[in-house]
Amino acid sequence: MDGRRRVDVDAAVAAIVGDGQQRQKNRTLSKARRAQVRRDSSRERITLELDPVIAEMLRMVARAEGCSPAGAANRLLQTAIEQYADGELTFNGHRRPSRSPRYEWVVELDLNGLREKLENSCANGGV
Amino acid sequence: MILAIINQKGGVGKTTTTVTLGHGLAMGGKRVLLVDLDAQGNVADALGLKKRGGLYQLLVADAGERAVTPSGRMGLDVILSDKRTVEAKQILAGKSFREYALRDALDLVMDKYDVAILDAAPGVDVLQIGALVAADAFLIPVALDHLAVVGAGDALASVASLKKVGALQGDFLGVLPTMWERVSKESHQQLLQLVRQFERLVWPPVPRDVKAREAPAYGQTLWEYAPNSRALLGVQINGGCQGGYRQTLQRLLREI
Repeated sequence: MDGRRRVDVDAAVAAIVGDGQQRQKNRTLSKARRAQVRRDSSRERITLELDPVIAEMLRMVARAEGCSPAGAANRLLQTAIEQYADGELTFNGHRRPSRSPRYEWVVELDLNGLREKLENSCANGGV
Repeated sequence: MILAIINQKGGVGKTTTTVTLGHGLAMGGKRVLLVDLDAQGNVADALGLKKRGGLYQLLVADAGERAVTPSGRMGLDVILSDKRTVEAKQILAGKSFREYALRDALDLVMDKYDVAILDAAPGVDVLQIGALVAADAFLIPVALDHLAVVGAGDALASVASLKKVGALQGDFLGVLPTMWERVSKESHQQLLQLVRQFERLVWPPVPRDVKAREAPAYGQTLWEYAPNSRALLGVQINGGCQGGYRQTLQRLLREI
């Protein structure tokens, strides 16, 4: 609990104590920083390593649609996941065996021509 | 199985804990007997019953099952207290082997029940010692303020002295922090203090909740008066409900 010794406690008690310690820590922050922490904690954040070309295209879509990159990613992923669930989108032909002990496959992307296609579409005011 | 709810400090939530756990176990299909050892007779208030000297009858008049009052709830009976409990204590004080009187009296009725929960009075008296001697296990509710946390240490000192003379057979299940305030620094500090002292024996805390104070005024248990209250369900932390009597009940069922 105090960082010096590991204490064996009930999982619920550990969660409550951890929450209390976070609250104590937040008390020492400035008002603006506290508001930032509150906003951050209400968001669901994950970190993914995107292909740099995909990341750039995501920003282009966001600019064209006047939304945040996160909003654009959510919208595009929603459609892709729907297609995946319907069996319209598969990973066949887009993967090769992985040497990592954690994963079976490495996903490969064919982005040839996609960026130009998107640039043309955005130049025409989006889809 | 006899469970004693003890703490020498008053106002820490012994009666609320007794009644809430008792009714919770009864709703789960157990046959439960609550025993009020406090002359204030607050268990009767909490269940909406008229006070009655059931404990006096059990201890002094050897009334056995006649000392038991049905609570009006399925699977839940109660031995109530009133002012005559004081008289019973005085009579017991003059007797030999008085520490065993409660255990012997409960033996007469326990065959009808799976669990008996003893609600001890504050302070140290013949009935609190009797409760510890009779109990198979005991739990110490501790309000999360400095004085109550000190009181928990005193209760454990009584337990240690009974253990020394071999009178205590029961298991110490742990401390149940009550009146926990998520936003209060003092509450957090006292919880940390308990965790450092008792580690795994600290049960998930019960949040302070006005519903727990209101329920006895209506003669209802928390399960009846406010089934969605914080005191029962706990508070949302990291996407899950933590603390509250529902978790207390789950842990109790694992332990007994």
